[in-house]
Amino acid sequence: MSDPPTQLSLPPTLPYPITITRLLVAPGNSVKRGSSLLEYSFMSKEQREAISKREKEGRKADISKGEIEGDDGSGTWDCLVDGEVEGWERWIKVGVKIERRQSSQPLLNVHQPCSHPVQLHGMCGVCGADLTEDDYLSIPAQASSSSQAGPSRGFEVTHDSMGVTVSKNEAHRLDNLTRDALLSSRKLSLIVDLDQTIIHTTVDPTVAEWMDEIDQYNRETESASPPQKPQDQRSTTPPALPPDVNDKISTTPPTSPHNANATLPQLTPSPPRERNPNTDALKDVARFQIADDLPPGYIKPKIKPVQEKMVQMQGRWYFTKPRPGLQKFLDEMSELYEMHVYTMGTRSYADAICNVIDPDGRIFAGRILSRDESGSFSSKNLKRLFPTDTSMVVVIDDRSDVWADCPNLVKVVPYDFFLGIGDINSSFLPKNKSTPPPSSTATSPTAASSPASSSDLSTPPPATPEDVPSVEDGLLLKAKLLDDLSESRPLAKMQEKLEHDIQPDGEVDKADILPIGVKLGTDELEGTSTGQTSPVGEVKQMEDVTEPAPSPTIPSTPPRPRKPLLNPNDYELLRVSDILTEIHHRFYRAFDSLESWDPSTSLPMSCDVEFIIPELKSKVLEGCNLVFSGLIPQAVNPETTEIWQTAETFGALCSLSVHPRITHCVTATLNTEKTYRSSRLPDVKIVWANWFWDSIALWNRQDENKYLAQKEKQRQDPLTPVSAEVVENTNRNGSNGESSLVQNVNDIDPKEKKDGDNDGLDDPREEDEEHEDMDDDAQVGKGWDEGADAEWDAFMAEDDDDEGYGTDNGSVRSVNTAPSTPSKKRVRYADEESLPLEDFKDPSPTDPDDQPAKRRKPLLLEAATDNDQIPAENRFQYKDKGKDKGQGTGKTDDSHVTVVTQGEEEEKDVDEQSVAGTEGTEGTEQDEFAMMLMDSLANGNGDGDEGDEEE
Amino acid sequence: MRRELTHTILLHPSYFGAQLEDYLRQKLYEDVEGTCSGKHGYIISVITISDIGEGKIMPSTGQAKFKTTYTAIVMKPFKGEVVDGKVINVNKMGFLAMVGPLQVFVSSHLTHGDMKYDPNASPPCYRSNDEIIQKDTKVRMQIVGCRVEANDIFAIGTIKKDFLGQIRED
Repeated sequence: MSDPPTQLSLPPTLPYPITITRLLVAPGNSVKRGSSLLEYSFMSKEQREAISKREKEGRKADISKGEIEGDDGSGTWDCLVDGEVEGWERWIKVGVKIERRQSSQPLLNVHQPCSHPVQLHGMCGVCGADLTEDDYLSIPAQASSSSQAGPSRGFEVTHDSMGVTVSKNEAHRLDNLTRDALLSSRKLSLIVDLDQTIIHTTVDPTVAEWMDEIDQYNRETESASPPQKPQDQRSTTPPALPPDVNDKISTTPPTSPHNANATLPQLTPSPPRERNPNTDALKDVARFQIADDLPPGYIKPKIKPVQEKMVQMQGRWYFTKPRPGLQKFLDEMSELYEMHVYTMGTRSYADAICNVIDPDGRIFAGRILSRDESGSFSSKNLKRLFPTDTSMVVVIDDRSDVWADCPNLVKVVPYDFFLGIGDINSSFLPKNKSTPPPSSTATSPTAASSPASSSDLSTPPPATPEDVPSVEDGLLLKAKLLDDLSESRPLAKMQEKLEHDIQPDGEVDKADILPIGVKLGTDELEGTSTGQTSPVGEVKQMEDVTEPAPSPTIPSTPPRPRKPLLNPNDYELLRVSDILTEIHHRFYRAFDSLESWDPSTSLPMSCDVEFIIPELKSKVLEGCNLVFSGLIPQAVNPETTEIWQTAETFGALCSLSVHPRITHCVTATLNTEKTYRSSRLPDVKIVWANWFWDSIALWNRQDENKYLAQKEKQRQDPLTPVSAEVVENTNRNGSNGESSLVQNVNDIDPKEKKDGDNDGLDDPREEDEEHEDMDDDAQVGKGWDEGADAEWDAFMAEDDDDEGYGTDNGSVRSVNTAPSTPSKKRVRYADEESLPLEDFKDPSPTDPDDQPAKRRKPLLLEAATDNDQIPAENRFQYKDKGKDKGQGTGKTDDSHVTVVTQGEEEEKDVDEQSVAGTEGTEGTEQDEFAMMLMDSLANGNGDGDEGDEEE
Repeated sequence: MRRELTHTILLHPSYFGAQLEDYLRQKLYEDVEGTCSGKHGYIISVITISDIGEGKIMPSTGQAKFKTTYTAIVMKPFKGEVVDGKVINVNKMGFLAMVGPLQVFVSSHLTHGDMKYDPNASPPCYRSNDEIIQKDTKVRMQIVGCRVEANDIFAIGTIKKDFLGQIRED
């Protein structure tokens, strides 16, 4: 093994400046740790003080006068390592003065017989030397990282904590090896989180009861198999525990620890039982016990199988639901990726889970990193597994905060199967407040109903602590949490509540509450799930698609429908696997297009997942120009807030204020100034914040129609004639193919939606349909004459033309609203009806963003002067309308005048009227009436729709 | 290797009685077997108890203190020793083998030059033309260095010498 010579440099602790007085070693000499390498002289502290004193007095210290003696101290620099001297650096000579800043430069090359690349508990893994000797040469801990030469702890690169660490060079070498291996097999690395990403685990004994109940039921329906409960159960769970699991996990017959005695006798005497509504959902739930949790004196049930049942009462059972499609996901992804597990659970937990999801160890093959080895209880770090090269690593996790903005992360929507439980291993983590969970329309009814139902629980779902607790606290807390969970049984309560809510006529209800998950997946899936008439069959069908081995016996429709609390459907993994496949394709497309690549260098930027993922992300909201309303606190700088930065990460442009360039107003509440202003702009969609969160959570721009936030607006402000525009917008969007109403129909029981957000979500949906209904009315032209239509179309066309200019244009236009900067573009404002809006100035206490925005914008003024033809075009259009003002008025630089005159005209386009009306000028009563009529019609339609839904 | 060792047992008064000796014996086994001391190495098994000692009642607690002398098989690895072990873990840095209670790590640097790590095999392994080292393979190693701590021992091994490496069953 020929290591490159080690470069030694002076320690930073010497009394610089020093002068070299003698070199003690020459090339070829062998040195040992502690032998002197050079002698130097330096000036003592007293001397320096003397010099500075003289300098203060205004004269130079003079050696010749004997005032100072020059260097009066001397020292030696001792070697840190053993080896053979290769040679001094060229600039090192006797008499050279070395300043402090030069101290980090290498002085001497020493060839070490062993550079101790691998260490095991402080012992070199190659030569066996003890590297933890502590002597006067030992470098203080914090300095050791800077010095290559000294023995430092190095990196841990393995998944398990064997105590083996490697030096930086060795880590780099190993990373290169990994990279070459991956490249040759055309794979990337994929780090997978467990909890809530690919599985969901709970300790709620209710699950055991349900599973026993189902089991019982299955046996009764089959009536063929003898009552040998545990084996039967296991055979119905596709990824069941293998018969010979390692001794950490006991595969004793699963019964609820606490209530086995209570439930079982109760179950047996009533043979004609109904089928548990959660059968489909629970059928592939696996259970296991972890040795850690067992009491210290616990004897493994292996020893005395007869006593198993008594003994296993003590332990805690875990119930794990693999995310639907997991097996397929793992199989497919393991073709493209080298799979790793990185979880915040304990080692035994991770092993147990991997036994469930990967029984033969084919997929993960021991590449499992758990909390025990991670070295941190609150964060995950790629460097732990890939110390030097992360360009081929993709991470999927349901939490982004633990990864600290790692560019390799593909965030997935948390899998929340057992409601109200959350992540049982998150007690060390700070509370997840980064992003709200995606709304019901996007993920699944389960996700949506969980906040609602959990808020009704007497015992809240496991509360994660506000701050990161200490390790001991965390462990105690977790134990307590699990105990609480076992006792409080949130699932049982929820199911009870759910069944309370059920109405006598179960049929409609059943249809309503049938959990139809979000259809994010492929068309094939959409196809299977669009017809929602036959609930059980449908569910079964979908199960067939996603899960390779469905339960052999799925009985027919239950006699009396009990509500299934647990939703078996989830298509997140399909979506994620699409993304991961895309990443893989991109990587290797870029890699293949490389003409020549020197394997000794790192890969170029195009082959770097850290760039590919952000690029993919930025496509999501590309072309969107967002303005946020009610989402950013006033006190903070909007550009530093998370929502802002997230939006920019996903390719959207963000604006501080409403201007004609914006495409979406993302709002938390209605009736803010920005939503009001946005409602005046024709092609701005006012959407709930959930549109934004859903879009970024799913990496797919969602159909805005489901999230429109305008119904209340219309009702509260009937004078505002915005509805027609909205109709137009809806039409246009619908025709874009973005709209996928069928695809996204959401059959959520409205009763489940208790909190305000979800109410808000309902409304846009209804409104959506309402718009669809209104389309015809609008075309007929109530209060919306053909001239206005034509103008509208023209305007839309024009607007599409310069879509690409983005923020700059918008900014410029905003600038132009300042009275001091009249320009040609003014004309355009008058035409576009945007200028009046800009000039319409509320005292805006709610909107502090406006001022800074305007101050900033003049910088961009020059940038966009090249669209001069657009105003001209505009002007032409306007004139074409044949309105009596027109070009002349348009050219007037004073827009206010324009507005007022426009306001007094009749039969004009709606936008102008809206402005005029709100400005207080007496608008056209006829049009207002038309608008009100339309509104009332719209509401009528909307009510009708709601009525239909409820019946 | 046999060693004469002593161990001090504290016995709670509730055990005083006819079966006191049995308790003492049992407690000795529980206390020392499977432990590791830096001085003697791993205490694998107690062979004989030569002297159970005289019990002394401790003031204030009432516990009896016995100073027992016993002979035990101990294992202490030395540098240069050749040991046989079973591989328990293979990763890209090397592999880890158990020699009885002792963990021996063999770095990939100390394997034969033609031996390559194969991460895609299941389970991962080190492979050369005539050898394959994966989990549960039996290997013969030479100990290169030991690090003895107060109650643990770590050892580094090598198979980069003649007659070391995979042990074939045949």
